Order: sequence, then structure tokens, then C-alpha cells
Amino acid sequence: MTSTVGIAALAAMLVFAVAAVGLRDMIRVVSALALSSLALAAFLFVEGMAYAAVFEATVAGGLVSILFLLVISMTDDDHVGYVRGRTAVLAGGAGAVFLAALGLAWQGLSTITLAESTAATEPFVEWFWAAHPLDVLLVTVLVFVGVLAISRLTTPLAPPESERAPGEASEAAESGAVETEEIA
Amino acid sequence: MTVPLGAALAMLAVGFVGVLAGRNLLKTLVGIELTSKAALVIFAATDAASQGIVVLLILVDAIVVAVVMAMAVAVYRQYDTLDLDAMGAMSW
Repeated sequence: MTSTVGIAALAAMLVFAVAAVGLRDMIRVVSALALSSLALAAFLFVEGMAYAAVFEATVAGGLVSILFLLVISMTDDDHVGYVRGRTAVLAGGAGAVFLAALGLAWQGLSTITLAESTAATEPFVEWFWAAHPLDVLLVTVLVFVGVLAISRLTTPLAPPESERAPGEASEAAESGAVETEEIA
Repeated sequence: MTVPLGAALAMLAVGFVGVLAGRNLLKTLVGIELTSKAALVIFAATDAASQGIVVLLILVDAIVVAVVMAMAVAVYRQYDTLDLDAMGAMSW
């Protein structure tokens, strides 16, 4: 049974999610998404998942928001429009079909009885590292690879030689000449 | 239906609308993020012992965001816009 605080956190999460979809300013969209993540973290904490709450608040609410802001600042594309006309009708129809299929799947799954859950009695940290040492390491490495890939891709490209300013080109030539003399 | 599961379904619908109705690539990614949060709520609501899966899901979600954002930057350099309609080939 979910407590009142948990229900309030879920309601806040939904409100911020709707705001994230409806707002047009990308900075506000990212702020709403981060607040939605924090509300979800509060719900996880109330449900007794303290470690998951910390991960949600730091990774989803912090790291992902910073990545969003980084990409927004690099792309400078503030055009946030929505589909119109026939595409909007198709999108609405696809959404309705998806939700209907989800409801049918829900009805089907509710008739299946799951086996009794084997809850871990040892502390979560010990169980987690004992059960998932390799995949957690791989996931951590992949996170950093993704961040490094973004940093590499967002590095400003060097302009072609022909588009460089005359002073810049002469400075580069001079530095190259100096380096050549030092080597010689 | 319990409250968390209903909230998760509503979150899934909101994320789905965000994916389908948005024309901006980053806005579409926000919709994907919201659908993954719906999955998190379902995991948390159904089994309290699934904390490890929830943590892994959060990390995998961060990886997805990092990879898609790298793609978004590459697409922006190619097309000079993040508007999916303007890209043409990527819109439907």
C-alpha cells in the first residue's frame, strides 16, 4: 500500500512530466524533466529503495540533465514544434492503438500467477556486488564512454585552412617554422 | 489497479505522446526518458526486491541518453537543425 507521501510524489512526477512534454522552452523542459526525476526518487525512497533513489536523483536528475543542457548549448536549436495535420491524426491513432494493446496485455498478464518472490535477506550492497560485479563494471565503463563520446563529438571542428583569418594562418606558419628550427 | 501502476500507465502515455508529437529530436528523447521512468515505477511498485534491476535500468537509461545525444550532435552537424520534419528522411 502506497503512503500519502508516495502518492504525492507520483502526482508531482506526472505533473512535471506533462510540463516537460508541453513546454516549448528547452531549458524549462530539461528543468521539468529533472524535477520529475527528483519526484520519482522521492517515491523510490518512500518505497524503501534508498539506493535506487540515490541513483535516480544523481544519474537521471543530475547527469542526464547536464548532458541535455550541454547538447542544447552546443546545437542552439530552439525550434520546438509539434506535428500537425495528417501526421497529428496518425500520431493520435497510433497512441490510442498502443494504449488499447497495453490494456489488453495488462488483462492477459493479470491472469498469470507469478512465483513467490525470493527477497534477499542480506544487505543490498553485499548482494548487489556479489551478484552483479561484471555487469555493473561494464555499465559504468559504458557511461563514461558515452560521456567521452559526447565530449569528443561536441568539440569545435578546426576550420579549413582557406577559411582561417590571415593573422591566425601566419601565426600557425610561424609556430611551425619555429618548431622546425628547434628540431633542426 | 493500484495507484503506482495507474501513475506508471499515465506516465507511459505522456512519454508516448512526447515521442509521437514532438518534432524536435531532443524533445523526442525527453519522451523516451519519460517512458523509461514509467518502467521504473512499475518495477518499484510490483516487487520491492527488484532494487538491483531498478539501479541497472537507471544506468542503462543514462547510456541511452548519452548515445542518442551524441547522435543528435552528429545529426545537427549534418543537417544544421534538430527538426525531424526538416531532416525529411528521419520523419514519418
